[in-house]
Amino acid sequence: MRRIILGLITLTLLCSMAYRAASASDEPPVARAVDVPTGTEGSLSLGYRAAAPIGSGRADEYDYLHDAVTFGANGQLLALPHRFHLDVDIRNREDTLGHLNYGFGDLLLIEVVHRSLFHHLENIRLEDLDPAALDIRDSGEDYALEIMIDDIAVAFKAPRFPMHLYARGSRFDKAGDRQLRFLDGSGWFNNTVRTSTPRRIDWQTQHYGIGINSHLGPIEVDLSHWEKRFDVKGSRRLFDLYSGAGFPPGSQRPAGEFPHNGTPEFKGSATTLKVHSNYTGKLVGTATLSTKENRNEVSGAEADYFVGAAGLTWMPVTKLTVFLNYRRVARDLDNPGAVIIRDRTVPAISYGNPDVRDSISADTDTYSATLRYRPFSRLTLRAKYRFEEVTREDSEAWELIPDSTTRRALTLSGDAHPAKGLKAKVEYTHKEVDDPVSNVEPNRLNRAKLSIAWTPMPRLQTLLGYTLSREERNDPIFAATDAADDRDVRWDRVLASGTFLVSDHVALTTTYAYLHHQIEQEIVYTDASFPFSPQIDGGVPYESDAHNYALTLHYSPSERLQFNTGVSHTTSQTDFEPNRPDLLAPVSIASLAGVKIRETRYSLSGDYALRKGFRVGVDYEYTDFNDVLDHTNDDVADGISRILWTRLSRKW
Amino acid sequence: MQLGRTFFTLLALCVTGLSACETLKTSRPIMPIREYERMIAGRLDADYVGTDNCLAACHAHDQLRRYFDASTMGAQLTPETGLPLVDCESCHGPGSLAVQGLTPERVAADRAEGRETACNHDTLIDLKNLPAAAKSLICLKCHTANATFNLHDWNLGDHAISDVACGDCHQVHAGPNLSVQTEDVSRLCFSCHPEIRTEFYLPSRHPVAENRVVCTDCHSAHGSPYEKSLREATVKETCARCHAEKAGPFIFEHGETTEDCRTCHQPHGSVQNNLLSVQMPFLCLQCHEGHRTNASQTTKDRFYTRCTDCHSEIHGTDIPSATGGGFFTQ
Repeated sequence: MRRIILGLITLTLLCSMAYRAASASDEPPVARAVDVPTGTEGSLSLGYRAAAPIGSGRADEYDYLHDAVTFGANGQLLALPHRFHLDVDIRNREDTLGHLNYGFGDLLLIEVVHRSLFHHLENIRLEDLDPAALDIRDSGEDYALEIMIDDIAVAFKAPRFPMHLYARGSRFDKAGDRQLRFLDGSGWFNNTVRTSTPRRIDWQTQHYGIGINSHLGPIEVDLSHWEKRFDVKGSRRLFDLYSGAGFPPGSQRPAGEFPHNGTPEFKGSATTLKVHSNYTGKLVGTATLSTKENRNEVSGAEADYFVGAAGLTWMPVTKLTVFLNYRRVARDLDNPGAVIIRDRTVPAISYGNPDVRDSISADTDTYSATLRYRPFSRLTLRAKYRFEEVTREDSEAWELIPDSTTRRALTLSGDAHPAKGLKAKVEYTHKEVDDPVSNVEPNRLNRAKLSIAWTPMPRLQTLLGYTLSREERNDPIFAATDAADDRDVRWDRVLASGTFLVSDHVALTTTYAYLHHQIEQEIVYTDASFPFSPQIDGGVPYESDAHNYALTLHYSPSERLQFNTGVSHTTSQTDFEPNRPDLLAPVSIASLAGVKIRETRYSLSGDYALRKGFRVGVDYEYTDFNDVLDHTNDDVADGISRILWTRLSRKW
Repeated sequence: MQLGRTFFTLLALCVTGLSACETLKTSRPIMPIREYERMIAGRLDADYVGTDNCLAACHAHDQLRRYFDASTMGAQLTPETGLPLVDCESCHGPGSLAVQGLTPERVAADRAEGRETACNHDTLIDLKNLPAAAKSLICLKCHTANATFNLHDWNLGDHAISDVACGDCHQVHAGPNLSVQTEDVSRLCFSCHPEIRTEFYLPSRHPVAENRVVCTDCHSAHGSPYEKSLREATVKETCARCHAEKAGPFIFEHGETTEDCRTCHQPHGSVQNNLLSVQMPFLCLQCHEGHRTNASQTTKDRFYTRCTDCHSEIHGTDIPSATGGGFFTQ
């Protein structure tokens, strides 16, 4: 905090210096008549928003579904040298948006953005095929978080002085109750008690930074320093009575009241230097150097980062541009070598780990080169090659993580306008990875994208896009075995859209989107009896599908009257199919994890312009979130939300 | 603390050094290559005639002038505003050929007949048909970091490489505030990235449709030295701007997995809860073997529903599990 105050004082002093320097200019006063434009325009709106939810709040996950008076304001004032712009949207006490811009000549610029939202969370009921192993402490609890995001940016710009100063800050508040599901009992296989309980959270994340920015003729420099805090105002950790592990021999934790699910506070800082040359040169260079420190205030674990990035843009001829980039991210993690956890009331009872595994530090070097070639105005071709090498420290203690990973990727793309009203984009990427960091990362990736926008006639616009991605992972590695076969992944994404201007007063837009994710890989698990041999279920398919259909209709019978109506319907599901009897009986493990959701949203709105700048508007929205499987223990539940919003506004 | 001292030492050095550098900020010729110079300077045989002549000749009665007068760029036409002086010809090029032969009398006569006086547009810079890089250069010749603090990484960004120009997002002649407002950001981004919009229709998603989270919270539209034009050097740092509680560092880290949140999460939207890329337990079974089971065991609900019901601190923790290891159960 001291540093921030010191920084602000420095900023103020420097700004005064700059202002004096500008004021002391010996330029003659402007002789001609001053014709400074001024102007004011704005609008205010007042309304009432009625909400009628049924069931789960998931139907409008981020809406505070309560009746409320609404207020909106939009205004701009140009009384130079003052420039002022304001946007305010208050839908209820939890759902607000404000955006303020203020400028005083070219000396002072202020931007403030405030956002708040409400986030419904589910109370998930634990799967209870074996109720004795459950402890449900939150039956009937409703969970939600209130979130506030505030950003402020202040810039002091001094005309006729080659140095400018700025300060920025952001605050992210998250408060409310959410469900905590955790493992109680002994925590070992002989006594696992899954527990769900409410947890109050009150977290605040703050970033504050100050910087200096200067124009030094052919180059420009920016130096900034940031401080970061994550503060926990609610419960920092919970305590529960655990039974002694007892088994297996040598288990660490005795019976006692021990802390669990701690949320530590963090502090961090960063200093960044940026330099770039004049953008209008044939050769433009850019460099960024940044050091960052993060510290866990409870355990003392530390993470330091060094980031260096440089880029060079070279345009030998206007048809050809070369972009060369290099980036280095050096991550240095340092965690305490030992940890002891003590009983809340009897400190002599403790357990811990005298030899904590070192976290993985790594250096990542990334090089890329892009060629952009425009043989003629209707065609642009690009080729990008990217090489990345990750070198890790302390990975030998982590049996599944390689010492190094190398990634190479080639991307070829092109944009074409072969005819009037027709635009096409294509892109192909091939990527090879040596020693991937996890089974999820492929050894080979091939991805193709195609997008066509076609306007065959002025009243019809169409868009078609398709992306196909195939990934292969050779011999996935598990702790229990490395005998698993290859893993294959496929992604498909389709987007088709058309906008029809049916008449001068009617526009119809229809969209269809399809997202498909398919994985086929082996599942590894261990037998229930000693010596717990690894078992492999071969070629288990996993699929996730989503279809979205949307239709919107805009009807404007006159300049004063407008109607909009729309419907959006999304169906989505996931499923996987194990084969081994162990995994299918007495219940299939797939039956515990499937998801099938249908979400339909209807909207209707009308807006009518009265006299003297007044307008009235009505919006109605109906959303049906349907958990088709109706599994009482899954992550989702049925919900319906209905919102009616009437508004009166005036513009002047 | 050390970094803070370093920063203030550098700051003091900069202040001292730059105090003597005032003369550096003088008007300098731009240094583009010849073809681009012609593109962004227009006809080199034309002369600058001043905004008054442009506006008086053709645009005095235009709606365009009213819009322009209300904009910051319009405000910059007069020195009294205290803003850096910008005029029509700064962007459109020298206008002498365009207004050649036009007189206030002819404009008035045309107006009396209800006709708009046409100037010779062809002699101005052909802004509409310039390559995107040249369009951007027209802005960047003034809006370097000196005038706009977030353009340091423009040339490194995907937009610069992909032929996106400043005017694709910023409307120069509309309104006094040229910056994109929070409520407009996502709509603007989706106009070029419609395939990303479809991800926000999925059951689990960030509140982008509600305008409470916007694309520029994570991505820098003005470029960045980092992957996907992210605002921060790593995916984890980007996510930690809002989800700091998961960022660590912790005593027990989840290997290297948490360095890239996309290992388990799809940041835009997902079919699965909590933006998971794959439904649990399959998500975890991709890398880890499942717990002990056989056909007679009825405890599959413990081991094969949501792994995080027990491994509830999967992003990292400071508290060891029952055996003293880092299994994220506490």
